[in-house]
Amino acid sequence: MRRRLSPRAALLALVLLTVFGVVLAVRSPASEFLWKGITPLRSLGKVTAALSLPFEDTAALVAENAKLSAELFELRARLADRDALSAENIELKQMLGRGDAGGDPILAVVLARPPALPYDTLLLDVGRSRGVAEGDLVSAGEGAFIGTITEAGSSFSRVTLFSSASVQMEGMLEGSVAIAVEGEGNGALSAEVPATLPARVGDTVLFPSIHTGVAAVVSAIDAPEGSSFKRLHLHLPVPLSSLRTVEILRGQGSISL
Amino acid sequence: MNKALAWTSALSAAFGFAFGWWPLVALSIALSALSGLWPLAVALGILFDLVYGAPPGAPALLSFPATLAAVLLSFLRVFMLRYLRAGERELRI
Repeated sequence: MRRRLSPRAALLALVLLTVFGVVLAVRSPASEFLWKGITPLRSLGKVTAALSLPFEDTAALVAENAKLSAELFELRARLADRDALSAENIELKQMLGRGDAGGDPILAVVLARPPALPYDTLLLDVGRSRGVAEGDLVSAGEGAFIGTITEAGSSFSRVTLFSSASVQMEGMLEGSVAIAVEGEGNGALSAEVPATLPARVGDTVLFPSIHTGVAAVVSAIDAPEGSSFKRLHLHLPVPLSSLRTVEILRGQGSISL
Repeated sequence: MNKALAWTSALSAAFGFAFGWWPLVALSIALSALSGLWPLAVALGILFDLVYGAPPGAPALLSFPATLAAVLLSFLRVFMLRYLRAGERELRI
């Protein structure tokens, strides 16, 4: 004999389905509303953490400051050379009719990043009202591509990083060999390549686009003896913890995550 | 007991949301679902999905993974209780 669904269970199922339907319809504005409430609370948490820092490490901080200043000076010198090459690159592309089509990038502040967010995503403070759209590429600056916009609210947007688990993309190892890269989470990626492929730690994986940009850097190579493949362990070009601002390149995304 | 557990779950979830400890929120969802507080579990699941969004890749099809997990865990509790009670009845007979 078939058991009939009790009226109470049917009503419950109907209520749940209605709730899901309503939530699905207002997902983006509701998400935005919740983040507007959460962000001040989280800032309060950060202030509390900063106040609890010990003050006795002044000497160590001074030494670290001096070391970082020296590193900054050296990097500025290197960047001057890089800026000249980048300008020349853009000029050549414009001459050939392939200049930057999307206009100026949009600067966005990172409101939340892993590990405070699951799924390897970033939350940014700009959205559709500033022209951000789903699929836009996100760069950490200086051609370091890190992900694409996967959700754009009116004043917030969500970035899915290339390192997000279950994300797969194509990259060009040292700009010349096409490889399939997959995300592993927490800024890490990996790729399986033929054992004979020359690859070294520090090699870059370029984003397959007319816009030159690094999407990952080889950090370790796992090559078992006798195997015809080796695994490249990669990481995003910038550490996630250091991200304060990012640039959104409008209309230039070529990967849908 | 249930009231205290509901408050504990709700408060730990609130702390998780406020200070970016999302595993604490996930734990609260699981705790409330497995202890029979399914409305709270579903509500926390919806909040989790709204705040943190859908996962990328193939799991994005689930759209509301935490809410689904809350519903599944609530059902799991019901089936586990039924199984245990049936076993108890058999032992008595």
